Amino acid sequence: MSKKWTLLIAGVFCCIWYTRAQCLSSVNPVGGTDNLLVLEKGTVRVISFYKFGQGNQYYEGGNRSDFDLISRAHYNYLSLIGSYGLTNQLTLEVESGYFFNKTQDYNTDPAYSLTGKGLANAVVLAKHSLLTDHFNRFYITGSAGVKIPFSRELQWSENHVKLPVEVQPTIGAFGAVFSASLVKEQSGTGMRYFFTNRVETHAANKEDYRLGTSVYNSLYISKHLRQPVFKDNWTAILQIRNEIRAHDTVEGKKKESSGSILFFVAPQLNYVLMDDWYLSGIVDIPVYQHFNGTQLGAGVGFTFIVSKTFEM
Amino acid sequence: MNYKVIPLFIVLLAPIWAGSCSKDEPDEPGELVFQSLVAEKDTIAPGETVKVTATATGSRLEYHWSASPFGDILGSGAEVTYAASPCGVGTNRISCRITSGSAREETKTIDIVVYE
Repeated sequence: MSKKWTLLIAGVFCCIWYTRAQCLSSVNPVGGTDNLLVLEKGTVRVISFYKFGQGNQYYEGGNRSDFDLISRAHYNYLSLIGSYGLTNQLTLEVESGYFFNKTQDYNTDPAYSLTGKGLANAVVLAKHSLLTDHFNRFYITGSAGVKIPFSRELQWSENHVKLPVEVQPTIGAFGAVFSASLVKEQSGTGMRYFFTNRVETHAANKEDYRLGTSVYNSLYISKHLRQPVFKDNWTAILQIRNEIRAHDTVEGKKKESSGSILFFVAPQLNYVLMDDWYLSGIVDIPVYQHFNGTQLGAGVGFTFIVSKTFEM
Repeated sequence: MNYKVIPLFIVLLAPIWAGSCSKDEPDEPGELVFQSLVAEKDTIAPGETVKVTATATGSRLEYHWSASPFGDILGSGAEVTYAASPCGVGTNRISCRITSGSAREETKTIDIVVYE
């Protein structure tokens, strides 16, 4: 697979973000370690992305709700992913992220906001090529890794008030991440199809709060824009994503109003700058949301990505 | 020696002695007494809010608030607002820990029941 498409895939998949639409929860990103394919030996890839997410509508089940304790939840998140090709079959990847803010605006009199900020989690992944078929241009990779919180303690505000879990930059719990990716190219038409699956499981934190297991499935359809006006630098991508979350538990008991099934459509444009820099913009549009109990749903979000590969 | 000068010395030096003595004596902040922790209501519905007030005496008091397992604390200081979440149906505990300038601390808790 050409370096160009490798970078494109990195730009496409670097941020499977999702709305952590828990009970009274603000939306949350996952800076996914979704560089789908392995790197060549000695190659370094760096990806950085910025995400804005928000939500302002409660749901009960699949229906909009009148519940309005929180008028709006929003966040700004910056992530950095570094990948290194240990061998031509094995890539090591490290991801970290920082919340500039995770905010919930309360619909109270007077109005009030709670904001958490800080480093989130680090994810360390080992990615291995499972199938490489250059003739048919079909590739499969698998990866496994750990999620490490930057802090094990939950955050308190400057005014000595313990912040709710929904605005914590990290829940302070370790976790495991597993993923698989399939890539199919059709060079003649400039079309590419990707499917990714990612599973995240978590241990309980120090306060015996445990996030439910999450499963993310994404289908991408990519079209290289060959019209002369685009000068071979533009690619259009459409992502259809499904996110499934199990209930959280607290002290071993199921947390009501947690867990969800969501579907998103995310159009994306990719631009190649000076043959080496990849710039992407994504709009995340929720098209179906179903929640256990009453939860704050996801609104439209935006992501901007920059990526580059270095030959060492 | 003119002994009439001795009282003058005492008068002149007394402020110095008094000042140095008072500088060596430590400050004595008021003793912390956490008198009560009270909520306007002890039963509320999801989405409702209730004021919670801590009454205490002492010096340089700091109020540390938390809610468990569910619910959000809004505000700070001696009076805050507890907001009940839909996932918080059941009994939720609000805890207030007060520290004082004398490095003493006391904690009180109250329960708020959130009904469906």
